[in-house]
Amino acid sequence: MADTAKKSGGGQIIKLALVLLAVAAVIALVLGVVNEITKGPIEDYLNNKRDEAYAMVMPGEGNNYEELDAGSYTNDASNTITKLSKATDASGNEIGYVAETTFSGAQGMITMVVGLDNDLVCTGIGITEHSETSGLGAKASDPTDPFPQSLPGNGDGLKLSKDGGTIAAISGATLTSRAVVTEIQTVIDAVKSL
Amino acid sequence: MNIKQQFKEGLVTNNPVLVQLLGMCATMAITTSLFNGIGMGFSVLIILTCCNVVISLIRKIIPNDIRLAIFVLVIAGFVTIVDLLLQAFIPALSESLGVFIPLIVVNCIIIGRAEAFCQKNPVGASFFDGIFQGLGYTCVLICMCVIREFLGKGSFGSGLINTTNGIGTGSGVHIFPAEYGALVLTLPIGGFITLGCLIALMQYVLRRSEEKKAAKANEEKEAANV
Amino acid sequence: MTKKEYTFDAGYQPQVRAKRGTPQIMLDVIIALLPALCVGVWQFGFAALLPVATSIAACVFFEWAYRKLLHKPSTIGDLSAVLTGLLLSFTLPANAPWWLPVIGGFFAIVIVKQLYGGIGKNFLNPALAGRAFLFASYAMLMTQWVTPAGLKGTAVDAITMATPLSSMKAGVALPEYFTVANMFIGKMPGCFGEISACALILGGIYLICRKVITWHIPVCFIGTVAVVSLIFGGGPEYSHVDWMLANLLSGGLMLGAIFMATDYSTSPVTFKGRCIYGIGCGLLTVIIRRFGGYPEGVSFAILIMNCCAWFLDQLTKRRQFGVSKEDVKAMKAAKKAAKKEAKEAGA
Repeated sequence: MADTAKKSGGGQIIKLALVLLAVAAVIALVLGVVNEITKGPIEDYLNNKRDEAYAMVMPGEGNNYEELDAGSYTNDASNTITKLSKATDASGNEIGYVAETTFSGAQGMITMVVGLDNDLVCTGIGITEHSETSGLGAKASDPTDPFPQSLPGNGDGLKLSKDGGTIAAISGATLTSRAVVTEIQTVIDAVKSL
Repeated sequence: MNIKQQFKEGLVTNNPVLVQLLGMCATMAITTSLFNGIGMGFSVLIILTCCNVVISLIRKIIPNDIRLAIFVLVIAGFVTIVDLLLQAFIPALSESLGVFIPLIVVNCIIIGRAEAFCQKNPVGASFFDGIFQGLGYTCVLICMCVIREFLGKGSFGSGLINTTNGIGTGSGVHIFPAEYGALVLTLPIGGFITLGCLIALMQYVLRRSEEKKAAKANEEKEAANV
Repeated sequence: MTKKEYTFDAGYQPQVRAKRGTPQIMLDVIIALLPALCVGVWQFGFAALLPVATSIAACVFFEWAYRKLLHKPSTIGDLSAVLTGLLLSFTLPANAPWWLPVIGGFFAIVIVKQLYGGIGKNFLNPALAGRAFLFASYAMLMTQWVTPAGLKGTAVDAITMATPLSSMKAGVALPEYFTVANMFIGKMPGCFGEISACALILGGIYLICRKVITWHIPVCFIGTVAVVSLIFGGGPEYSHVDWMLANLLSGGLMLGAIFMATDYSTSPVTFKGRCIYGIGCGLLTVIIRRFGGYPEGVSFAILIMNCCAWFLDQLTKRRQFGVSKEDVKAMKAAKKAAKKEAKEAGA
């Protein structure tokens, strides 16, 4: 440490660079090994998680999902749909669509999976991430609450009863309810434009 | 410096969070359930100990001019290793802590200890410094978690107790119904309030013990004079 | 020695007046709150006194217990804890469960007031901070409004109903039973102590006559809300005048402007500072009500301005005693000249 101040010039810079390079190389090697070990389990976990969320919104077992190109649908002006897939059941029949969406709720961003059948009727929703007020807006993510249970079966043009539709909002959380309903409509519009 | 003194410093008199006021961002953000607190605490403890040992080992060959760059490289390496391992083997924890695991890279406790301690001390002392400072951090996190979870949601040990679907899914023991809990304590502002109160308490206790010590010393002095 | 009467423009505390200590001032404020208390009982029944009682008892108890535990002289005799308890209960719905003000009282007295050193050292209004804590924690309990006695029969026959502010937030026309007269007297749903503008104004006039508060903060606060809401209006459902009146008479504006924003230790000392403080509170209130996520913004507006009180005092510091206006001018001119000289010398 002490002798670095004495020397100067190009030789010194090269020495520093070499030391840094050596440290970086050792760390990169170790990280490479760790990455090899963990790659498999991480991938399995992510796939499992996706399958669970999709199973929540699309009935039937052994479904396959084929991701659609983001350019193939329009009508998603604010880019809330992160992934839209076409669902086929185990025997290859088309059964509908599943969309992964991220949009803004009352307090922060909400991540939600939406399922639609071939007639563009909602088959279910699953909120996987949110930061809504617990006890109010957060009820939207509770599958046993009346609000998320009332959503399947609604098709194109669904609205809250406050806005002239048929869906009852969560009491005290109109903003969250409206955001969820609007997002389902966005997905329906996107699928319509395919 | 002996181990006993290091132990006392890490946990009480030079506690990383309550006295040095380091690493407060993560402390306030993640301490909402016991599971998070223990997970984060031990992640930091492991990373801190590993970094301390490695940096102390190579302290004689690190050129002074680029020491910070090398510290950050070593820390980033260990943080990435822990991050990957958590994602692979305890995914629930990784999801719950989110961005705060990668953010350990810039957690000032680790670079602070590297700069202040490891580059001047031998491997053994650095190893124990990492363990004790990490334990001090973990203790504060666990305190915050228990307080915030209990007052905010009326439960204890959520994530760890009453697990339904593997680790991290437990609902904890409910001591009183959640609707009576002061929800605000589980929000970020509750982190600020709880941490502020804990720091105040710590300062009070430290000052009291110092005053007592001073009084005792005075008495002894007077006794000697008589 | 003959005594000569001097009249100083003395502000609020820290000036000390003879024969009139904190207990007398607090007692005056409590007296000024009594009309609003009576209206509350008239509209919500005697059951609404339960949260008031537990709130006062809790605040006094926590004040006593904290001082006792830390071996400090007791301060419950100055009535400030009683006042905090009373004000806190005024900002809660009339059907609040008894334990709600106990939690609010703990936060107000222990965390906000005593941890910072007790009376006169807190930087936030304890009662309002307690309310904000409860509001963030128990949103459901804090937003259920009992139908007042004066509207039973005329309005929806339910136990709870929406306040004028929620209609205003939703952008729908005010239901017809919220007439200006009803809102002025206090025949509307809301927090226990905030419903009656006339009772609160009565209390405010008493406080100004007794020289407990000056007119600056309430007038600037309420005036700003009136002017801003009159100018900008509230959408197609309201005429500008209706919108202004609805803004003035609904919610916690009167209670906040007269009793909360004028709290000694959390508002500026100088008159100019108080005017700016009042205007700031008014602007923030209108902005939160119109554009924020919540229908009501008075409490947050005052808490935000509380944090600015010290800066406003610095900004509006008065001339030092014994220094004339001319002296200040001369000093400023000298400073300017010195600067100019330095600049010229540099060039």
